[in-house]
Amino acid sequence: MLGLPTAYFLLIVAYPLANLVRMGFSRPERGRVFGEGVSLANYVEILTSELYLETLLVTFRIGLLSALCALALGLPLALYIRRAPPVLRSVIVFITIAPILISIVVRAYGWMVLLSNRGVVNSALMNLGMIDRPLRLIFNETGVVIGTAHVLLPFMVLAILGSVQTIDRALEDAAASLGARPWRVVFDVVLPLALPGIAAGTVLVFILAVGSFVTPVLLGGQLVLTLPMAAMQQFNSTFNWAFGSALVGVLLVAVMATTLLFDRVLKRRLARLAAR
Amino acid sequence: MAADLLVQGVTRRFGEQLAVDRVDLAVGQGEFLGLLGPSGCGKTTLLRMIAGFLVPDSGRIICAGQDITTLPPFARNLGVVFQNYALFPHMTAAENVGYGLKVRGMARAEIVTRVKAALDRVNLAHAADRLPGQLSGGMQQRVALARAMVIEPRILLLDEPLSALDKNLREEMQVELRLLQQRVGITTVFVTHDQEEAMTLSDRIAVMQAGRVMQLGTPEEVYRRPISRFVATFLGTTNLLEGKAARVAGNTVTVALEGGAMVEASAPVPPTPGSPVQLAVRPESILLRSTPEGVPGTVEDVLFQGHRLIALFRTDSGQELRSYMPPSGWRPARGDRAWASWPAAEAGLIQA
Repeated sequence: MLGLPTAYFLLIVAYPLANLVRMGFSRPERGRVFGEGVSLANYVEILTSELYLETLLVTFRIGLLSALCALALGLPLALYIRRAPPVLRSVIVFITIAPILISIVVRAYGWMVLLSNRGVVNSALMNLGMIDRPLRLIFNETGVVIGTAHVLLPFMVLAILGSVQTIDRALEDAAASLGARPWRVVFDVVLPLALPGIAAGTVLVFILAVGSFVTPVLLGGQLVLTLPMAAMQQFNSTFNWAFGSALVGVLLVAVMATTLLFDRVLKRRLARLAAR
Repeated sequence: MAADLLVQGVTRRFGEQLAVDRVDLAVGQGEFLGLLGPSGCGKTTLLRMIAGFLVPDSGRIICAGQDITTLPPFARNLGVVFQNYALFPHMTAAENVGYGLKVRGMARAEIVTRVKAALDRVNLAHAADRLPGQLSGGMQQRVALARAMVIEPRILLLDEPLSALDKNLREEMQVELRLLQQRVGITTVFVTHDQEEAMTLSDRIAVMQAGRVMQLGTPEEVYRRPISRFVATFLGTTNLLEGKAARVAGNTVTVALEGGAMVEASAPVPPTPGSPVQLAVRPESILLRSTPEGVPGTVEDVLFQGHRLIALFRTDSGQELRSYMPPSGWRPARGDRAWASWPAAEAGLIQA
């Protein structure tokens, strides 16, 4: 019985990944995108190059800020959805998830309309006299973070919703009967119990943001370089698949390390909750 | 006894459904009132309105002289114990008990002292640092009780607090709960669907059906002298005998049973003479004898249960009766002629 699923896994997941890792340790040869030899040269080059280390830093900064923005927007939304009456709840959930159905490209152009120097946001702020010159909201990291957080918000909301919906309403009643005002109930009871979902959503959005390509390309102009973009250049323009694979490898290891670290820190905090 | 909690004409609908229908209750200082009824009778809805989790559509709730009808729950200072305890899973037993004191802004040292005393009172001092998930059902129950009482609430509200426990533990906790309530002397309202539990614990029972209080009285009154068919059957096995009110003198009614036998019964609200009535008599109150005294009939079967006999009896007018008899004394046998009788105080008069 194990044969078929195992074969499926090897063919679809393991084989391509192994190939990628293999390529990362080779060098390009004349007329070929990667060669037969085994070498650490790609990794040495990446980790000693200021450009690529800067790119790694930018990628992580965008990932982290996008995750935090999505959390700041998604957490209140998830809590609100939880309190909403059933019919309204399904409507709000649908509206929250609906953007997934729209192409990321379309949404990126939508943000351009809103965020550009003569866009809706800057025009409004200038007309209100709050700023003299347009804020630079696009074709920089700010624009990429705004766009990425928006694209990934549904994942955050769904992850948090998954855990807040399992919280027994009687717990909130109990806290209220003991004298806790509504806000106090949220901070003392709901948020601690929603932590697993908050953590899952944050990790998920971070991973997706770090690996995203279309949004950084469109909303970063040509001015923001992230690791996936750098890898893409190696594959498509420079035709140095070996170096591109090594870039992907660095991204993969860095993301895994971050996620595991986050997980460990959080596990310790969640250990108490797990006892329930 | 001064009324500590007054419920006046309280009504609550859920959409079309009338959950609680014009309920009036007065609970005395230190009294233990049981709200008893089948699921969906409105007892929990009523409790939730007293606790402040729901607001009545009409009517008033007055606690210690203050109208609390629309006061939010956090401002009511009532202790609530929930059906599944609703202990905070991320807090230890001690943190759970101390939570109500913490939100009141009490000093840490004072909280520690009070929490310790509260846990001692329910014999859980050794479990203070455990999480609810590491406690047995009975221990969780006691933590919930300690948490509700440590804030020194004006009233204690219990929503089926024992229903999640197994039978032996439940009986043990019933006694413990009653003793604790008596010792502290706190006014308590208790919701249950278990008639035995209600009778064991309550000073008075309000039997509810379809949002209304059908009968309010001491456990003995509602058990021995039910005033409606619902109350009679809900509180246990009963015999219902058809008859007519023949004579009415004050609260004493002489009932002419089908078949002609005349028996006496008392009714809080006397029926008009001549109107059809039913008598509700518990099987343990019916005595079968071989001497012609009472309602004549035939023994149809006798079942031996060790501590008692169950005699199935049919009156000459065709009504079936069930009698629980001690296994000592006269033992009827199948086919015997016998006469059924019961003390007048053991018959509940039900008006159609």
